[in-house]
Amino acid sequence: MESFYSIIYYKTNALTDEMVSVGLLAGGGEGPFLYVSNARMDLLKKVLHPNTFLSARRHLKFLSEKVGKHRNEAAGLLLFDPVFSVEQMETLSQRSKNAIVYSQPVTINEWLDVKFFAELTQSFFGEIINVEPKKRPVFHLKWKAFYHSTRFKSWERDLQISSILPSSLLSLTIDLVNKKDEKIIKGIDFDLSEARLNSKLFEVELIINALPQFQVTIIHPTPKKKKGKSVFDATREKYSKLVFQEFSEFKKLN
Amino acid sequence: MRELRPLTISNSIKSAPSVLLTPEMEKFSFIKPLNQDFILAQTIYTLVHKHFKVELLEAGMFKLKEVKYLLAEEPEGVLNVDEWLDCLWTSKRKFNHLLNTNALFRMYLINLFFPIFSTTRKLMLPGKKDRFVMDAYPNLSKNEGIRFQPVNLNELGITKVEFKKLFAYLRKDLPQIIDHFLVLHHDNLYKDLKYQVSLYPSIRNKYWNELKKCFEPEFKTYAIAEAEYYLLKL
Repeated sequence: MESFYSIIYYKTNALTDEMVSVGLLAGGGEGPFLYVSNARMDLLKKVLHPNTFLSARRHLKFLSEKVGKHRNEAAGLLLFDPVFSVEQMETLSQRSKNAIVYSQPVTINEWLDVKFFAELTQSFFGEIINVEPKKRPVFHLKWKAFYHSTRFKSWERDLQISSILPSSLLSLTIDLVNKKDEKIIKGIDFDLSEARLNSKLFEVELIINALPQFQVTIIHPTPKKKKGKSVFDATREKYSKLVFQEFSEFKKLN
Repeated sequence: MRELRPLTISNSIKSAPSVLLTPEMEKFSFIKPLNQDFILAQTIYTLVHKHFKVELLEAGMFKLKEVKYLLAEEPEGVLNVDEWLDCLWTSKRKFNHLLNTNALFRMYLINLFFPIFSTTRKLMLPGKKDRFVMDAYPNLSKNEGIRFQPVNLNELGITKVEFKKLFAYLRKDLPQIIDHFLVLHHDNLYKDLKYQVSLYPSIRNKYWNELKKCFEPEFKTYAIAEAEYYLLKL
């Protein structure tokens, strides 16, 4: 399928026939891609009624979701049912006489991929697409989701220490407790900031001292930072009684 | 149809007189010169849609250089309803941003039961929740006025995947919408329309001959069957 682009305009006022170009839709190649300019949407926000703007923004957001879905999921299907094709865009551009106007599709003599699309948008809108680096999911969220899953149904979760030791004045919660087998599991990320990590380790110490009969297991992700690694090694040496297990391994075992 | 008093008449960039601003600051755009045929067609169009409780944009008229023009209200950010909009209802969460999808279905039912205008435009008004309305005027085939020509739902375009997905969310309500529609499709509407047509003696026979076909039991049975078949296929 040949590559093409079509500019998306928003007609702000019937009195003046003014249009603001707000986005760029490109198809073919590795596409489709849609870019909506935030700077220009801010401009629209100033000239449109708030509710109209809300609707227009929602529309473009949903459209870009649809485009993204086509690119990521239905790659095989596109060959048979090209929704974002030149023909489709041509009929659409003729039909669209309302607020959102699509320009006639223009052929691109270049393989369309992410990099080229970024260059294209920059030349049309003068804006650089910032590809946000993928955020690494935080360990404690993954860990919480994991130990709250049905796999640990027989364990007690987020248990206050006072419910094991009624005499204890500490207000500590323990992630997983198995009273019958006398086992405790706690998750610690050694890449945390120093203060947070220290408080976590202090909690562990308190637990060990308060419940010496329990076997305590620490679940941790592989430390990435230098400092995390050194603290991890030091802790392992310090508490010989503790069992350390990597999160990925622990997941496999359970 | 309201007679409009202009505050200004603008020439937009594209073409000669195109937009009229009233003293109330409402925007109307010029559509085309009016003739008697069209006024009657417009009256029938408005009456039928109002009868079935479908919201219409306002139409107006204005005399410019001895020619009467039809004007249609031009709200901000209005969009044509077609299958391209399907990104707005790909999930139930998105669908909930649409206010009156049952009105949209009623519009299609009107198309099915009163196939006398060649095309009618369905529009979407933006807002906190998007709302469907009918355009202010019908499109008639050239110099013919209204013409009875049965359509099926395929020709109306709602058998496309995109629209099926939209109406599938309403699956449970659709039988009731059709029932309500049929209850309103009664003799009083017949009388009202006949009266309106009789006010234009020169074209009344031609118009009434076309219009009364919509009330023939045979045609009604066909249309009901068509609507019910659609529900089965949904």
